[in-house]
Parts: sequence; structure tokens; C-alpha cells
Amino acid sequence: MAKGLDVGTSFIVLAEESAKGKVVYKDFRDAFYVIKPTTPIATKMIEKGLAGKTFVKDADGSFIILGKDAIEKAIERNDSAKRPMFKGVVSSKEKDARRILTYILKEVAGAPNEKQEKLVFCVPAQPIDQEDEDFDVGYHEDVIVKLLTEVGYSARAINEAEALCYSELEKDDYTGVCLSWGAGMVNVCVMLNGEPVVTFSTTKSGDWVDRMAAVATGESDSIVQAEKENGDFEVGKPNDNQVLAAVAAYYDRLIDYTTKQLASSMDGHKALPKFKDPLPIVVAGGTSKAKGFVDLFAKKLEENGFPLPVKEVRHAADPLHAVARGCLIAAQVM
Amino acid sequence: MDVIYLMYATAFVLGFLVGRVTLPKSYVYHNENQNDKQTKALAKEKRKAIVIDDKKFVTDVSTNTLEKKGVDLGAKVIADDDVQSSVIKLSQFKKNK
Repeated sequence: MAKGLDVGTSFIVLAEESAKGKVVYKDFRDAFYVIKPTTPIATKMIEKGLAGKTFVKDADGSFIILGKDAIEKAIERNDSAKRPMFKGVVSSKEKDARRILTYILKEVAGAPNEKQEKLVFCVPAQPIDQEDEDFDVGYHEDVIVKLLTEVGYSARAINEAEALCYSELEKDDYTGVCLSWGAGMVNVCVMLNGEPVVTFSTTKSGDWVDRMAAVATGESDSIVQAEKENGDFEVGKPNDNQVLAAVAAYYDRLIDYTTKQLASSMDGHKALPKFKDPLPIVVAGGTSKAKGFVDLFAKKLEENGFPLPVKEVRHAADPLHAVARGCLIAAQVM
Repeated sequence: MDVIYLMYATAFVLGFLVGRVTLPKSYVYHNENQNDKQTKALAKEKRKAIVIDDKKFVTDVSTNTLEKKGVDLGAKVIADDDVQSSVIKLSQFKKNK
């Protein structure tokens, strides 16, 4: 038995095989919101109001609402939910980040099915567009290995986009380019016959779109995120709803920026082999689910001079679960 | 014969002394400095090789104070998906590496 775990900025996804030909995914929104009651009556009222929600009660009497319930509660109070992770790694900005992340991961991963069950989780690559001391992949990896080991797993990390390659490039003999568009970052992996040859990341993705659209419209990040995920818009196209119009415009800029970074990083890269055939490019992740995303991405790749021959640009079969699926495959191979 | 040997020896010693006095000082010191530089470079290299592990230490995190309330975490989705063909193919690629 083995498990795969996608530890993302916005979602934590567990994948495990329940039977032959069946994979069970467990998704959890990576967010929390703290309410601290001031009186015993308020405590009772709040607890009553949270019936049917996912939450924990802390020793100081505060309620920590978790997951999508946290986002809903934050919107209700015209506020933004907090994240235990920021730009792909455990957040150093939130005081409670490690404690909340530890709790969520322990609950989502659950107990191992056997002693020292293998579990592979994903970590981001070093970003090419940011020198930030707060971005410490090694520390992030150590934190997760430590907590999963305590639970009883034999845990190991792989690169996020490498996991995506394992999930999506089987019919291409594990040769191609995969991009995981998460909330905090875009992770890229170029793979040749099952071996990652180039991996890197960029630090602008879905959260950047939300932040910029929030600033442009004066709404909170949580409201923009909710509108974006439920609203009808097409990337780069005008929209009557001002929030969605801003989101669509910033999506266009994000894709343009990322394809330029991609072209610039690949051009003349010493580690890149000479590929004999054109390569498939696969995109996945929540940010890639917007309408018109894949077509615009393919167009911008060409416009911005992507230096490798491209066979096709396609969406992963299951964009939200593909990384966790790749981690599950890696856990059974490694 | 002894006199001739003595003369040769004297000429050699004199030649050595004259040479030592008349050679530019920089030449003599150059070699010494060169050795000194090499020694310092080696020492520096050795110093470079010894690096302190300054990775951030992972302290213990207790979640014991968090009392679980409400519903379980995570929504489950079951997909018809056979990952075994991927596992077998990838294993072969990894073996042939």
C-alpha cells in the first residue's frame, strides 16, 4: 500500500488506491479562519452557529474554522481567510501556520494502513523570478517529513511538476513538459524518458490574479476568489461583472508573463537534451481550469518564442487531482 | 692539484655571493611570496570546505490543544482509474536508466 499527497497552497489532496482500478481522492481547502469569543454567551452562540462546519476549538477558547467553511465565514464577516501556506511553502507570515498545517495534514492523510507505509508528497521547485529568504523549500520539506514520520509514514518528497509528468505522460513515454498552475506558483518540469531534466517555478499564479483583481475592484481576496471559482468568465475576454472582468484581464497578463519566463529560461538551457520529436505540453492545477486558459496559453507560447518543438498543448485528464495521482504513482515506483 | 680545486671552489663561492647580491630582490621574494600565496589559498579552500549546517531547525509542533469539533476534514471522490499501467511503465524506464 502507498499514498500520494499534493500539499498545495490552496488545496491538500490525498490519493490512494482502494481497489484495483479505483483511486480515492480526498480534497481539503487549505484555509483557516479564527474567531475569538469575548464572553461565555458568545462562545455558545458561535459554537451553535458552526454546527455542520469543519472546525476545532483551541485551548484559549477560540474557534478555528477550517477549509471552505473558513472562506465562507470570512466572506460573511467581510474579511479574508488565512492560509497556512504561502507561495508553495509553509507560511512564515502566519503565526499559527505550522500548527494548522500539521493538524490538516494529519487529518487528511489519516493513519497509515500498514507500518511505515510509503507516502510521497510534492514540494515546489526553486523560483526563477524571486530571491526571497522566506522561500525555504528545504525547511518546508523537513516540516512535512517530520510530521508524517510522527504519524507513522515513510515519507519522501518529489517535485510538484515531476509528479504531474508521472501522472500525464505515460502514453508519451514519459517525455514532455508539464506545468502545474497552483494557487501560489507555477511549477515546470521537462522530462525525458522518466527523468526530470529541468525543473523550476515562477511565483505568480492564481493568488496573484485574486490579489490584483481585489486591489483593482476594492473587494477582499476571498470575495474575488469565490467570484472567480463560481462565476462565468473567459480568460482575456470582457465581462459585465467588474470583478470577473478584472480577473479575466489579469489572467491574460499572468499567462503572458509565465510564457515569457518559460521561453527565456529554456532558451539555450545547458541541461536540455536535443529532443528528436516534438513535445507534448500538459497543464494542470486549479488556476488552469478557467475557460479559454489552454487555448490562450498555447497561443502565448508561440507568440513569446517557446524554443522547443511542440506537438500539442493539452489539459490534464483531471487537473485538480493529477499531482496527487503522480505522487501515488511515484510512491509505488520508488 | 689542491690549489686548482681550491681556486675552483673559491670562484664558485664568490660567484654565488655576487649573484645573490646583484639579483633583484623582487625575484627572490617572488618565489617566497608564491609559496606563501599557495599555502594561503590551500588554507582558504580548506576553510571553504567546512560549512556549518545552518538549515532551519524544525521544532516540535503540538496540536494537542486543538479539540476536534464539527464534521470530518476532506471530501472523498472515487475515480475509476487504473494507475498500475503507469506504475509498471515508469518502473521499466527507471530500471533502464
